[in-house]
Amino acid sequence: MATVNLTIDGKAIVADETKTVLEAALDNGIYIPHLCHHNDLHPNGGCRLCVVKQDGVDGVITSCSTKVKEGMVISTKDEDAEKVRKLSVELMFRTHPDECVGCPKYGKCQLASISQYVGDAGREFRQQKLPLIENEENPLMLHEMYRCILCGRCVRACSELRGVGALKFEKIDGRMKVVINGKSLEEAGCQFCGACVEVCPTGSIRDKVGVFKEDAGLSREQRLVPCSEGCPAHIDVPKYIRFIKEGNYPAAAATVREKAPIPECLGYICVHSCEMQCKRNHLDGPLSIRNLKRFAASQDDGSWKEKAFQKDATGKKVAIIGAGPAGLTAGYYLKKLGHEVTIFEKLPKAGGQMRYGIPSYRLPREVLDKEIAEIESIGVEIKCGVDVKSAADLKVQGYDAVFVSVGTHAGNKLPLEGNDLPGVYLNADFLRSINLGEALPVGENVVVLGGGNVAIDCAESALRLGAKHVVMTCLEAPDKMTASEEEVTWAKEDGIIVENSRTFDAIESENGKVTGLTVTGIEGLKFGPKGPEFTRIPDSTVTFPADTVIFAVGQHPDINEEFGLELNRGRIVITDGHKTSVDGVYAAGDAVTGTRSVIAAIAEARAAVSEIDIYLGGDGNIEENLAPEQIANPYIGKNENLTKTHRTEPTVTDADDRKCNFDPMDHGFDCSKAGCEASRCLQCDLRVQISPQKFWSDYSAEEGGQQ
Amino acid sequence: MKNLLVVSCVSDDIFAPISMYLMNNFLSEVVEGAKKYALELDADIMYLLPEGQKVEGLDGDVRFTSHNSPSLTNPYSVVQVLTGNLPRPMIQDDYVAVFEEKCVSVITPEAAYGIKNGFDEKFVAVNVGDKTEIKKATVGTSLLEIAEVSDAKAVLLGGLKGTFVTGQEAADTKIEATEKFNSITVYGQGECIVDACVQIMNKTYEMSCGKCVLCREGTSQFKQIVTEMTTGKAKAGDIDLIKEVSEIISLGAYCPFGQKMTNPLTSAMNLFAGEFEDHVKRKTCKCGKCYKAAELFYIDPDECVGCGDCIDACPEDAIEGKDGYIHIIDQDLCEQCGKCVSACEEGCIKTATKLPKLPKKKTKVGKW
Repeated sequence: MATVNLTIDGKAIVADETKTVLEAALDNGIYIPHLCHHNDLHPNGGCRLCVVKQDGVDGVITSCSTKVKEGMVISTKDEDAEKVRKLSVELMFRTHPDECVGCPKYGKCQLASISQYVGDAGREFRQQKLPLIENEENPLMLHEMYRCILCGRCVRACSELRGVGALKFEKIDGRMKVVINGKSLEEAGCQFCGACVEVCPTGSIRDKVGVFKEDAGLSREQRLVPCSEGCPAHIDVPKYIRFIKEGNYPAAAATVREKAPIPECLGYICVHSCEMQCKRNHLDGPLSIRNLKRFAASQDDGSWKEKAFQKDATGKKVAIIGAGPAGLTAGYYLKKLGHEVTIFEKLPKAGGQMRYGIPSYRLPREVLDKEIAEIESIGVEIKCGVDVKSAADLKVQGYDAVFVSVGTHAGNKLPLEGNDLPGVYLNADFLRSINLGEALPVGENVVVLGGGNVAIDCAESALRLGAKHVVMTCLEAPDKMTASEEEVTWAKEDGIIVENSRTFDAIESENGKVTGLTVTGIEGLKFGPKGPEFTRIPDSTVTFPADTVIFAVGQHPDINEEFGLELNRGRIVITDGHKTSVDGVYAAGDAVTGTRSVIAAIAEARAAVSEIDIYLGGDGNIEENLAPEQIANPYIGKNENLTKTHRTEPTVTDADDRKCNFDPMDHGFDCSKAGCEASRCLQCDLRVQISPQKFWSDYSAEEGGQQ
Repeated sequence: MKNLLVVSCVSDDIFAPISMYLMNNFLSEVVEGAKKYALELDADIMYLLPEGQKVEGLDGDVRFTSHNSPSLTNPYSVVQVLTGNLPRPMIQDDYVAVFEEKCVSVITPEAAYGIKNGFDEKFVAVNVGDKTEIKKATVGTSLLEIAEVSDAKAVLLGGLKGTFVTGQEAADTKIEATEKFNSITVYGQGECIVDACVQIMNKTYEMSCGKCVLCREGTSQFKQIVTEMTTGKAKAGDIDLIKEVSEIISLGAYCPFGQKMTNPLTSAMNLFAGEFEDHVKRKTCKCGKCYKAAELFYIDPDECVGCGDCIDACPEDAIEGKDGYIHIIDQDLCEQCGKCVSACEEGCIKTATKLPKLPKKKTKVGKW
């Protein structure tokens, strides 16, 4: 491209001929105040701040809309230009509130920043403050247009960048205003992309409090794309949803696989913290991200394999203890990094809690088997039925590194009268027995203690084993239960009674046989440092009849000091970088954190793999691009159905047909449901494409502190 | 064809309604001129008319808009209006406005007429009192040919962007083929120039497209300040303020309208400095127009019962007083809306052009 030579403030500059004077100046560290100009938007010229003097031209020129020309001599600090700027800022403040400190944009306001730079001549103009009208009726965004200085960036972003046009200018009682092009944002066809908020220099259009995390530790991208940030493995959710919308399902599957080697299992059983973060929670309900992932993963054609990395053999040997999600993930990536991997699994088959905890009606074993086989196919050796007694010993046996991911396979038992009677089971034992094909017998009346997803698994499994009456009881109130809302709903549909806000008093028995569980109602539940705190409600003690009682109040690793690692309250202690107390022995997953989730185990295992690789002399890099490049089209247009299409529900087997067997019950999405649900995505990632707002201090920082 | 020539009949200055006059009276010349120009540009022709107007015998692509703006000679602004937005100009190197995949150029009926018939003729809107008459004049002849201006107190040449001159100066002026001669507005000896400026600034504020800060906020400020000169609220420094700021606005505003909209006011201030001073400093209007029009409200201290009803009714919080004390209207804040008059059951709120003696400090009812 052709370049031209020009002089700005005495500095000789060579600039691309397509650049404007403003761009050429900024590129070369010369700051010209500007407000209505935005990197991604067509020049506007309305704010009159970027005016400069050009030699040989009368008056001033608008630098944001004047192209550079050969031989131009520009002065940015010309007296006339500065007069114009000062007057413009001064006039803007005659309608804009001058109390900055109370403004939510305080410290991040471009107008305030510019007024500091430009100064105020202090003329005796009239105050023409706008009426303090706030519009908080719309979801996600709020409008306090009395702060608006009419730079028009929002209107331009909405029409130019997005093709939506939900905002417009309008003259009301003679005064120009930016207004919503309809009674509400929804009626105006708003796609809730947030571009208007992103470009607004003042506090006029803002995200509502609570939509995005205000955590200063998060990057802009993390903050603006809450689903990916909420996923422990930071799977690029908007990207794979977009692939699904486009009908490119294998690419969607590959996108998930970039961060997790068992995408389809996740599609069935992930705790989907992404959905809790989904911005659409503030509109009509989150996207059904887990089901989208499941559908995409089911359409995987393996095309990602061409792009997967496999490093040359390093000659290093790594032992992994436990073939659950963490162990499988670690084995997979360590093998790809070129290390020889052996996974030791105590139980007869690999899968960990995915096989011996999660019931098969939630996760079909063929899916699990298929994904484990994929991991084995790259040369990960899994030795089942091997009980490693000591992690520390393995290191001595010639492994260069050891990764411990033994999970939490021992259930917690509360110190309750009658807790050692026959017919009293622990969650882990009970669920494992079923999956080993040696189900512990249940009676007609089963009471499960606990309010989490595992408690539901126990209750549902008991029902499927023939129990007639199943009661779940827990300390938590209905809205505070840790079990997912969906699972609680299904449990209730299946006839399981959920008794909330109860403390457990005793397991009743007669002649050594369990007869019931006595509980008392509570209120004011809080979890303090010493455990739960609450008030017992007088006269609320009842006994639920039971012949089987199942504790589902947490699990811990099934290891002890013999294992050779420092433990704290039964869990493996790690320091930074997933290091245990023994050099070369690393740990991650539930065994370290306590029972959490498959996706958390995967995320932690990935982090540990990087550490182990570095320990073994590698670079620790396991990132890979398996999906094709995606061009996210920011010009989304006005899709009137976007806000009207509500969350798609999966096809689920009726209660009567599901509660008597262990067959899969949730059938997820088909192609059309997936496409429909994917089209609900608000595409939060598009906002990240918009250039972030810069302040004059940012430019002066770039030019090394001078301004 | 890939170009579009829009004949814009919606950019007239409010003092010079020439476009529709030409469309209605010289349609064939305008159409021929536009065709000639369109041929050069390789363009289709579109006529943009004010909403609700009809031109007998005009066919082809005719569109309507409710907007009338000086910016509607700017192609971008025209496209904005054609796509349902407000008129806003775009003045930028290499910028091409596109409508329905055609590059847009804009011409006024007057220019189209000129292309056909040459530019020796000039249509001038002559405004005297409430009457507007459009006259065809020959360039180079005296203004006297079309209007009796010698005895006028002042003549505004060129409407909202124009300049005030004295009647005598106007009489000595020869008509040119420029925008300045689109209109002449004649002000008689008895007319108040400050009041004339209020009317002009009201219109200027209305016509400002609002895109650029200096024009949008400048017209808004000027409108308020000049209005205050006719109601007694203006401050001593206001004349200098307007003069100083006008210079900067002329220098820095985005478009020609913004740059020139200060002309009528500043030229009036220079020409009639004494009259402005009278208004601002002595709060008098020799023509008896201003302070008469804007009668001041006051509360008769002999009749006020101190009930507070007027205080509640005042949207400007301009009435001071508490229960049992005589209420007083703060003239600086009063907007003369009259709501207090209807709120007062005693009928003690009255109007006057000159205020009677009123309590200056808190005075109990009955102690005046």
